[in-house]
Amino acid sequence: MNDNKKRILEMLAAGKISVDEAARLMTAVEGAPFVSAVSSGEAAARPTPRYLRVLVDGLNQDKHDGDRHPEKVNIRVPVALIRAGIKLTSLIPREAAEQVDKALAEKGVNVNLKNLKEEDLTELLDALTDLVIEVDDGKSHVRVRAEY
Amino acid sequence: MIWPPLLLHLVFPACRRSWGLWLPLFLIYPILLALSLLALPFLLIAALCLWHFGYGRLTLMALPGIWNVIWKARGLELNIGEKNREYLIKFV
Repeated sequence: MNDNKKRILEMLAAGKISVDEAARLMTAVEGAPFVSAVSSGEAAARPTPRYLRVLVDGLNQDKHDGDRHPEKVNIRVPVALIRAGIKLTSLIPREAAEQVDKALAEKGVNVNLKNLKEEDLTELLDALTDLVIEVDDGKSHVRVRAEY
Repeated sequence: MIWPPLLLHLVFPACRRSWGLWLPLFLIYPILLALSLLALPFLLIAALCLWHFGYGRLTLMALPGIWNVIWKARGLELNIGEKNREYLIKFV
């Protein structure tokens, strides 16, 4: 029996905590190392995403007949290419980067090219292993997911 | 080992149907490499001249950076489909 369990039993014997509280603490003490071991094992076993898939389903208005036709965009970008691109952004002179940021901001994309870091991409990919980003504005449906 | 894209698959609409084209990129690499080696001394001189203006590092590192991007483009795929038309750019 480890120290934590002994302390909980002592607190219960002294009447400092109720039986329910003691049971909850026991579960927490027993469960915590197991949970952390499982989660660290999962993290180690989890493969690194190799691609980022972007799928866009939308309707495009035809210039000639004015009708709306379904339009599909399917993009697969290798993660290694994104990393190489991020490295390349560090070479862009400050003035040029500011102009690019300004042009992107006009299009509604607020990105600071000089602040792009590889760690940010790693964080994003870690998050994408567990979820799929879905955006639906009524006109188009965008899905972003990681692939292996 | 990471291999560069060896083929480029293009699909584009023309005359009521889609056309596919396979371009052998592996044949272009030796030419590009030779051109890069030829351009290297000139790039070094240009980098030295532009160093004071803040563009020296960019000139010096642009070539390896571009090669790095080309090398890692394998698997890049762009597919756009609308109405009866389909466009595809795929680095294989």
